[in-house]
Amino acid sequence: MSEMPQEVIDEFLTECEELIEDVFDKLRKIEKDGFDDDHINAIYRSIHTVKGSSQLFGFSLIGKISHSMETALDPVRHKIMPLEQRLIDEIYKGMELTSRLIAGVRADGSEPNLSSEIADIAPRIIGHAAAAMNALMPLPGEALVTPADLSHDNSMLQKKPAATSEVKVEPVSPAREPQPKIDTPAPVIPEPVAEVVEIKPKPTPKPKIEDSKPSPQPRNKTMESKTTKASDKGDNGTIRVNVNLLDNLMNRVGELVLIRNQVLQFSKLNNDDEFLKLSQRLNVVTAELQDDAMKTRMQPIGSILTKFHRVTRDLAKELGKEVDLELIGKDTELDKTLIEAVKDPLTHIVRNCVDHGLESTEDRAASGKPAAGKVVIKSYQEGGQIIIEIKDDGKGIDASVIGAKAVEKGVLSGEALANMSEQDIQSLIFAPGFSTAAKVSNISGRGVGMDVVKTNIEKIGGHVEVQSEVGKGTSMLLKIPLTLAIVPAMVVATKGEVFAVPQVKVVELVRVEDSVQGKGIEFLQGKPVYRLRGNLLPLLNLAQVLGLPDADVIDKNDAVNIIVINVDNQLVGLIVDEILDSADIVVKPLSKFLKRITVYSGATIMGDGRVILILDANGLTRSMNHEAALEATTNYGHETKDELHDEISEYLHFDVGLESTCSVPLCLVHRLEEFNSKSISVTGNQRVIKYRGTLLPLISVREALGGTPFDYDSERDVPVIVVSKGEKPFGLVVEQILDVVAMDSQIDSSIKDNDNMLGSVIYDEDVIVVIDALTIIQQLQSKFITQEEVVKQEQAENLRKNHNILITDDIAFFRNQVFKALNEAGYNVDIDVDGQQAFNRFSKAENGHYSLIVSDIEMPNLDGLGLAKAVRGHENGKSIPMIAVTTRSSSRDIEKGKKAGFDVYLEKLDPIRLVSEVDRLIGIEGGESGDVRRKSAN
Amino acid sequence: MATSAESQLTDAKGTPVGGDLQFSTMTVAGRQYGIDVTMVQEIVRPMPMTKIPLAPPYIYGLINLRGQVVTAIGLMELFGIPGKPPEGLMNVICKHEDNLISLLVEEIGDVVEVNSSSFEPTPNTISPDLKKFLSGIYKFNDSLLSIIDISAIMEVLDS
Repeated sequence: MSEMPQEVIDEFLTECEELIEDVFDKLRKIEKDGFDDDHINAIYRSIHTVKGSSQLFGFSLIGKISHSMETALDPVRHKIMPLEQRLIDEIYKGMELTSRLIAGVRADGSEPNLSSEIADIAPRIIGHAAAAMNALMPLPGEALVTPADLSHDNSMLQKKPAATSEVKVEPVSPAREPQPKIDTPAPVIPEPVAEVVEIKPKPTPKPKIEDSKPSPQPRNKTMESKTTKASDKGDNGTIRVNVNLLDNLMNRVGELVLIRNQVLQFSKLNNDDEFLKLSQRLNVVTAELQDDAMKTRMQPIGSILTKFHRVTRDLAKELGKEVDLELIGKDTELDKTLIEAVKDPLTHIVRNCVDHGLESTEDRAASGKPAAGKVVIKSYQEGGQIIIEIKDDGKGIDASVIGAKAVEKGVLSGEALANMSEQDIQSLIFAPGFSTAAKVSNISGRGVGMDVVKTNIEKIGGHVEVQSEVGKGTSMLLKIPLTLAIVPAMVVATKGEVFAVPQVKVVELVRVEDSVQGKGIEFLQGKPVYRLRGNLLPLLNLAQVLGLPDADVIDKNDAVNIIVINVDNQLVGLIVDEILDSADIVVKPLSKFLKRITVYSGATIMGDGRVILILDANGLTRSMNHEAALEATTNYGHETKDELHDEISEYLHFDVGLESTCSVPLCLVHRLEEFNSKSISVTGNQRVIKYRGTLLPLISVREALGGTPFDYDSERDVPVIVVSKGEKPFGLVVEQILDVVAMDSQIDSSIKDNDNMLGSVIYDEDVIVVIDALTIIQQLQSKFITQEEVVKQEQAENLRKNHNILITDDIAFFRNQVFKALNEAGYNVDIDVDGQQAFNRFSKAENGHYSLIVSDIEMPNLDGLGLAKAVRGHENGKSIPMIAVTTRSSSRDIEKGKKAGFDVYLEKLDPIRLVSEVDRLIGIEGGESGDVRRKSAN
Repeated sequence: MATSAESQLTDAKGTPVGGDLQFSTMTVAGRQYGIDVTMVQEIVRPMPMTKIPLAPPYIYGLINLRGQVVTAIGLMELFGIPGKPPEGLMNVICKHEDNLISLLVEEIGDVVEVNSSSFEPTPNTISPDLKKFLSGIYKFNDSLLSIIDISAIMEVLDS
């Protein structure tokens, strides 16, 4: 049925969604307050309408399921059979299915294939009716009754002779007292079977705009089940308008407001009374227009709140809890886009409330609370904001538990925790990666919840707060701006530039008149701070953050204005020159390429037509933290470079399923791959995988570190770090690749309990195990070495023992690697940390003491090139072989190295190649002696 | 300049060009450039400009175009042409995928019609910093017109 224009289908869907919500609402009321004629009739009518219109549109599945519900409800409605809880449950399921179908149609234009579910549920629903019918009325035909036969009398449980199929117009019914409320909204299509309709026969599908019946009313969810009031003449009708049109209208009004501001300002400069009067008129009308335009986009928040009855009901059933949900202030109106934006966060909070907040029924009984937990969602307007409060009477948030958890999860340190207030600790539930549920359920507990709630609410300029009392309950406050487009803001100036700061983030304004020490601005480690009522308030100089000229001077003699802003519950003071005004500003987005400058959230046009930038509080503080972080790393780098001849290297962090995170120097990593465990095969005892035309042997890092073997059996993606040793690649199998991190190369090798570890490094307060990838590989290789090779190797090792090698490298890690490679091969090795030291050692040694020199190129004091020149210039150094081992290996670098006197130029760091080159130059074991300069000293 | 543009922009035979494409012409650092007229929304006189601290130097600032905030780009800086542009630059407001940007130029010339046959790709001798913003060259009898590629500009800005 896709020939239908999309708007018509959209309208149909919207109407269905509204009807479905209404049905849920009525079902809940029935469950709560017991059987009610009006409600049953309303439900019946809604389902009937869904059925009718879905058939009209050719959505047969929706038609089918609603037909079954309609059939089942009919006898109930006519009091032929009582309404059983079982039927209510079935109707719930049926409606759930219907709403899934509707959602499916909305998403891809056709009904999702849920026929099996429908085939499952529809007969069950109809079964109710059939059972009732069979029991009561062994009559054939449709189980329908004419209303004429019914009276209000509750004794009417016996079936009057059925009047079989009926005409649309029942002449008697509307006049008769018994069913004043069975008045249906005009059915969208003619119904073949009996149906109570109004007297005036309605021509079938009529444009809804003229439809005086409120049932498909889009905006008013609180529609009474009392159906049409007599006074409803149609002049109060609603029309459906495309949202884009409303958006355009809003934008135009926004522009009009700006022009109005300009006119007003201009009129004040003129002394023309008439003009002034006119502009005042314009002012008033514009304000009203703005108000009305805003209202067109407003929707009662009830449209999303009522859904929560279903959400809590389902969830409570699943968890075996009893929950009583109360909604207050459903009529509170909110901008449509905001309604959409708060929907998901609200759902999450409500689910959290039921899942974590409320105790189990037994626990509640034990603490003397009523069995049914209470959740209240209250929404109201306060000070230009909409407040949505979600309150439960559950166990509350225990600050000590939260705190302990946060420390355990590494969200913060124990020290930091000790300094926090109870409220701050409770707010930790918004920290990323935090979840208090002891066990992970499919409902919540994955630790991705509350921080997402917070970010989503903040994205729309809102704010989340939590208040909780242990044992009494928790309440969450969502503070949301009334509308996205217009924001109250402070207008400030600094160094002649004007900016706007949204007022949501502003806590207070402080004017520091007296800048005498102790009272005014102080400097802590060069950073300005201010004592605000005894607490230190970190300050940001706006001009400095923005890089304005002459920014770095805070004039100590002048008064200073500080805007205290709250970012993530941290107060920061923004130093500005002047606070000019407060104004309602219309936020205009910035070009995409300006969004990278995170200190701005947009721009606005002032009354005088001038454009000003809106500052983003989050962005400003982020820039502050970033600066601090940068400073920290530079200090760090500075210190290590000068004093330790060490430097920051990059490491790849990964998880192998052991307690500590593991790490490997990035320079050893060739590639990162992910293989499906199914494609891994076994040769002998070795796992291998086809990789770029060769076989890649796989080694489990966990096993190498003494842990359990890797589980290759279950099908999954296996992350593999490909490391090259010599020409050959090897795959290190890990559980998860985490990150590439710059760390100090100062590896503490004293703490190691395994030969496959190089040692440990402290990073971010965590101990990181640095694995010795090359040793791990070597162990694997050694398994395959033949006896012959072993003998050969032993011979070579014996020969090497006669040679002394001098190595120099300023980076401890590489130095150790080179040392290890040569030392294990059998050479005697001396180490120096820079070229100067190495040369001193060399020049002091006897002629011929050293057989070879291995040197880094980049070193402090005397670099590798300098060392080579010095050695070649020395009387003992004319012919000693020299190898450069470096990261710099462009052909120009090699050229330079050769010129300075190096024989071989090797890239960092391939120990096998290094040893073989050393062997070759010294002349051990098959080494080609042709171009060896050195004549053996022995 | 604006008056002379017509006489300048004649085709190879010396007759005025009556082609299938139209370009707005403009001057940046004394040289002539063209932009496809369909990309140009309007030309606006020099406007008061709000500076954007921390933005790259070719971003001059924001202007208020009848209630819309438009970012102004200095072409001279963007093209990497050394020197200081004069005061009072004209705004060529261009629309690209619903985004408005203003390209700041010294002078506005006429709209010229050109024949697609007189097109040539930008020669390789032009510095790559400039060449990436040009979609090609149109030849006239006594002058050449470099065509500015708006989408290339947006791409560079966005990257």
